[in-house]
Amino acid sequence: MKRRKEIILIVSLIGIICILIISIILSLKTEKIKVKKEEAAQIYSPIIKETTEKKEVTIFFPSEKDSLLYPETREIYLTPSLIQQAKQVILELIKGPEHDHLPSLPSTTKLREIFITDDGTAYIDFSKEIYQQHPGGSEAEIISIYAIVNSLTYNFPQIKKVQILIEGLEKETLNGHIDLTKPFSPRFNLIASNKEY
Amino acid sequence: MKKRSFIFSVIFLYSILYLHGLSLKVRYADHPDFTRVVIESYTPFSYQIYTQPGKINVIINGSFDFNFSKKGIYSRILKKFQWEKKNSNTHFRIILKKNRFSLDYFTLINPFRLVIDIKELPPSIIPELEGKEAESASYSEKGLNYIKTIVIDPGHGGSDRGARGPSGLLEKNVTLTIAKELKAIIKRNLPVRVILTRTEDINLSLEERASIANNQKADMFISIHANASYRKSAHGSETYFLSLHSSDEEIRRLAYFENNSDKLENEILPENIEDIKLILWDLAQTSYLKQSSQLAEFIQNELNYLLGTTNRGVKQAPFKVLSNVAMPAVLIEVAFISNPEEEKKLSSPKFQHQVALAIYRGIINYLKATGS
Repeated sequence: MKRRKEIILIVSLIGIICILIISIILSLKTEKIKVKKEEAAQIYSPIIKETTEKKEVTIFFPSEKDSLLYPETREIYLTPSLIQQAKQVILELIKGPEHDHLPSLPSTTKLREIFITDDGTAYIDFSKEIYQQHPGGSEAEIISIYAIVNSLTYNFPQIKKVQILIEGLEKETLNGHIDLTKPFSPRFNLIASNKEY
Repeated sequence: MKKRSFIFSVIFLYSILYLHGLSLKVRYADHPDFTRVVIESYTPFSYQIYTQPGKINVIINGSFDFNFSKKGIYSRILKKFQWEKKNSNTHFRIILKKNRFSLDYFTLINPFRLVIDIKELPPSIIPELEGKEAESASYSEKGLNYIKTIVIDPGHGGSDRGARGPSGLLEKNVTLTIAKELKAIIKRNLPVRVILTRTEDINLSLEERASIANNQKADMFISIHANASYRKSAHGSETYFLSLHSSDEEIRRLAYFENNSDKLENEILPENIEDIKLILWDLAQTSYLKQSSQLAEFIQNELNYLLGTTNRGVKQAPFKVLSNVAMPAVLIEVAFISNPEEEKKLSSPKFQHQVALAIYRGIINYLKATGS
């Protein structure tokens, strides 16, 4: 009789422990999913602090004329943080040209994040549309990459090199041509008025 | 009397020079799988070529006489030549023994030559036999002995279709066709091994392409692509060789390794040497940049000549596929698939053949210029 009682007790204890473990695992998982959703919502809308002071910047777009990059000027908020200024330049680049030029990036591309290291390398993290909606081809890849690299290095002397990340990771190429695994130095000889550099 | 004979001799000399200048020399030769007709002139001429079954008509602007052996023609495919002057043009006709043929023509300078290659099209083709016959036959280029293997890389493939033309032509298919044509032309003319990185519509990573070339110890790597741009009007061919990303840093790194390699091997533990070798492998192309730029130059010249463009030159960019290749390497953007006119060209077998032929001539010129 005693034995039976003991067995029932042990079995019920094991059952309770199992239920506890399962419920803990489940609650952890749902928490993780919640966190991910919040992250995603934040990432795709970089918040830019509006300031009264503004700064004029030059950004670059291709033109029907030739395979060079043509300048356009924009006003950005003169935020104290360099990262915030760099973000505004990239967002303007994604928005596209205002004058008689062509876009340099797919308009559906989203800017996820920018990091700048102490030695002046800027890491620009884009969403997957940057290659999925890209026309492909070497010329288009060169134009997209150097529009980004030149626009940042031209306006911010603190930025010496630019590395492009996609969805937070290093990607080999956009669509099979130019190597994205290393940071780019600017190429100002691709700018139309600056050919002699 | 003396004066008269002097004037006569002057007139005589002038007339010889005059006739010489305006007469066109015609030569022909049978090659294993095509017959070449060459029209040579002291002055360049413009011309048009159209074909009929069994006939090739060459209309040359200007009045010319022809100078060819009257002995009769001994050729597998040529029957006879005819010519006549009509409305300030000269009509030259090549009559063939066969009705079905394919044609390829181009011009060379110094002296000006119009070269016409005629290939018989048999009703049924037995490719194996044709291949063997060609391979063992026409190796005539001198000084090209040192090159053993050429790797041709048709860009993209499989789920990576590359760029897409406005009416749906896919880059991955065009690159494969041109690569196969180039292989066939090289095999016909040079005793070298030609390896394609892919012969079918399959996925192949850029690293795999480079390692095929490195493992085969190839002497030359040629990647074939079709270009695309945001610009609708973008057109023409471009030949690229590698540029380094942040040239300063990489060159410094390379110089450091090259200058200190003996010291490094002594100082570094054996298990770390593999890491160092990997870093060097990453820079494989850097020691071949000069040769790659020359190869690009020779190929681009021929492509400019084919397309009648002069403004497009050799370009440099950090192409992933070129960076890991330890041999002279170039990437050719044959034409813009994003341009409707060039898309049409890219889909035509004639243009594909002409491009392959131009690349082949570029390779030959490079080998002649840099070889023994």
